[in-house]
Amino acid sequence: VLSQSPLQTLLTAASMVACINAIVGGVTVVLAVRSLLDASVPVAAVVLGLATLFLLYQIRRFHRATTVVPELFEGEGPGMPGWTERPEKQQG
Amino acid sequence: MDEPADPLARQLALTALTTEHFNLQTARMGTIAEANGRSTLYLGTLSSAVIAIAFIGQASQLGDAFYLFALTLLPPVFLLGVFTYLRLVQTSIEDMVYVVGSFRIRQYFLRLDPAAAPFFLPTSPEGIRKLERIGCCRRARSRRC
Repeated sequence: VLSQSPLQTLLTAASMVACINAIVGGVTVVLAVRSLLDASVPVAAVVLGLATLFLLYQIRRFHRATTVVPELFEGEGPGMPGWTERPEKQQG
Repeated sequence: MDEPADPLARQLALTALTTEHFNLQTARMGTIAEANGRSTLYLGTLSSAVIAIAFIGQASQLGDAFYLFALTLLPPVFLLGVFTYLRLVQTSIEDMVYVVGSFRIRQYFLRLDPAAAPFFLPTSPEGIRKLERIGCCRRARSRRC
């Protein structure tokens, strides 16, 4: 059974890379702005913005996958075996 | 789902499904190995870049050379990270498809002989609830209640 918890998207390798990459991107943007315009930019804001973008993309892709994957298997709806249905629903 | 009544056809289907199950497991191993390889490559590149930037920063007293070096090195690392991230999302979705496929084959195996069911990992709602209780396959609290 696949877990569909919202926290699950934070437990993937993609999330790890997304968070580290957001820091790299944030530092790059801040260094560029500071060296070109000589203006200060809050690093944390840029990092959080980038991390949010990465995570929103991931959540969107996973959400689409959970909708589409059951349709890949002929004649099966979302209640297919092994899918993320609640046990109560599978019984009924 | 229709099942073949003919024992030979059933045996052939079973062989095909066993092969398919093995293929799915191999494909899963492929996605996991690729995810590990890509994230390791990215982290290795990032570590090297950060160490190099630190050396330059120290040598140039955070002068123009530092900014030039950092702004040359960090954008490609960031791009590598973006591509790594995109591929990792893809591989995790691929992995999800393979898991569901192999689980469905397992359900077929379980139906072949109900007497063998206790020797498989639990798939019944009660069994899944027990797995959840020990922290495995945890679902969203809102969905459970």
